Amino acid sequence: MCVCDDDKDRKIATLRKRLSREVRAREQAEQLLESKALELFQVNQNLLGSIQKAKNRSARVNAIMNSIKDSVVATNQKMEILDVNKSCVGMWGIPYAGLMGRSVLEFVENRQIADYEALCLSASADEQDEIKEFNFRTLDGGFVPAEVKISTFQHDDERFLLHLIRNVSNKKRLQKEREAMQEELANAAKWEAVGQLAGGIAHEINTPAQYIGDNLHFLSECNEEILEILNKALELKKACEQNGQYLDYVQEIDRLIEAYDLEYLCEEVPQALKQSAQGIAQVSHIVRAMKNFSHPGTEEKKPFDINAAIDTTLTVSRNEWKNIATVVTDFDEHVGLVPCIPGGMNQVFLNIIVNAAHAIDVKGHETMGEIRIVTRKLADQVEIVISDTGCGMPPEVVKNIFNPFFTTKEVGRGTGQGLAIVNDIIVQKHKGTIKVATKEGKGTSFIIRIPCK
Amino acid sequence: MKGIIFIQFTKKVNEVWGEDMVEDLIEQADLDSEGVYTSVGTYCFREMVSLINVLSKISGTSPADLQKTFGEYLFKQLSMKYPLFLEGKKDLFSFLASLENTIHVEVKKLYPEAELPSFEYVFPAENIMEMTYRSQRPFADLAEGLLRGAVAHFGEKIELSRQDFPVEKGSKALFRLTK
Repeated sequence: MCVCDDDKDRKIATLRKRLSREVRAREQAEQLLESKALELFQVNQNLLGSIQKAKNRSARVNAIMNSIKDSVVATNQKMEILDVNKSCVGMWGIPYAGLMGRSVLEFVENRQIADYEALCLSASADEQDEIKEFNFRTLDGGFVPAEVKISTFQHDDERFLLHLIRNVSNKKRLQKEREAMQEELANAAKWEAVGQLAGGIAHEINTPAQYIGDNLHFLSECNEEILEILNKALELKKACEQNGQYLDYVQEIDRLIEAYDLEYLCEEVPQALKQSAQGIAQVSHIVRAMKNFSHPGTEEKKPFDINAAIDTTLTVSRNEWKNIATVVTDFDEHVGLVPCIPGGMNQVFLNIIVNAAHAIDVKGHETMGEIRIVTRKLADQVEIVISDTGCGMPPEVVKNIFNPFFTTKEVGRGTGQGLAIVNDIIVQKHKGTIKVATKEGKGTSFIIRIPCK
Repeated sequence: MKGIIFIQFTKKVNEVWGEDMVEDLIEQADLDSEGVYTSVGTYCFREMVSLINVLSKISGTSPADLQKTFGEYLFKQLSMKYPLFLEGKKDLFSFLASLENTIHVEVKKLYPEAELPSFEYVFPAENIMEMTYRSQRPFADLAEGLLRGAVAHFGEKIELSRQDFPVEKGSKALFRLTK
């Protein structure tokens, strides 16, 4: 064998060794690739699971956030909005995308911005938790009162603010209504006491008024008899004078006639007695009306004289309207007795008549206004129309007049309960109807219909 | 140690001393792997130590010089294979500063089992960077070679000095690079 062959064999041996290493390296690489592929598959599976879990968690967090009735706003330290929940979108009336990046301060009422910034600073400094009230602007240009609590949270090395905003407009409305209700209840209790007192006084006055009236009637009759006797006595005096008899007495009588002005007494005394009788009759009438009004009786329906009740109410409320309006009544005698809750119906008539007087008062009374009350017997109903020549109402007022706590009267004069009570008594308790016809500046008519049976 | 380092090592030996030297090295080094390497496989660092020691004996070059020379070569090869790690690095300092927190992080993602050296950086002056190298392996010379390769890559005029520290295991060295 020559050197050349040795060299060749050595090269072949080297190449074989290298080939063997390369083949084994390839097998190793394939095994590695296979195990890495398996690892990758498992990692991928885990990743997909994690993504699904993350999605579920995110969806759950979103659902929780959106189920919160309060508004939740996340901002950065510059107060730029990064996220809001559904309630916030509803409260401000701006779509989600439209809120992103805007400053939360844009929605705070101008005069409160400094306070809001101070609250944010306090929250950032982890100072004591505070809840403060702010007015937030809404899309329609109005404001919503809300309680605000601000906290902070850390994410990706950055600090953020979480604004919890609770709309308290409903709470405030309910609070106002509760206060008005309490005031109304206090008033009702007061008026109930006054009514009872008035009923008691009316009863006490009624008896003396009765015998004063009787006595005045007796005195009137006696006065006529006395005048008859006096006339005869004067004829006797005249005869004595003509016959020259008892002249001393005649002169004394003449002096007394002149001194006391007998002619005046004869004219005025009957009139004084008559006027006194009329006066005491009027007192009796008022007292009787007050007595009727202050004893409404039960909540049960019973035959009720609507015409008489209106008359009574007019008497009781006379002080409200006598200086500003005249009252014209046109009662249908066929109305008769209608099943009603007496106290309730008295309340209805009083509320509407007093409202009518106030409406005339508001309009101004250079000339006397008029309250006209008409009753009519319909087929199976009774219709009562109470009209006034007052200020009337605009449509936006008309649609609210039967709502509790709605009033156009100044503070302290109206509670907003009157017509709500009227509506309740007529519609709920009597299954009747009540309608309003009104014209601004001209007047208002309430048309009430009550079933006869 | 990753297979790519062994492959590049045998490649360099092949280039300098020829294929017979590679076979001799593998035979004499008594390697568990028998010299069968794939670039993504992981092998014991002692095989590299054996290979360098055997090559040193055969070639008469010190193991330290062999490591340094191989380190320079290795940097060039890796920079061609993984240009991504050099992208956006305007100078040597910014590249070296990214080793610990960027390049090693990415390597760990791909090879969680990889045992990498650690670096700490100090900048005593604007033109001076001090890197403290720590490794459980005796490859401070290889690290120096890699650093020299990096200096050559960026073409900057850098003065490199090194101070070794005695450690129980592995190696620790402070590299001071001055512009």
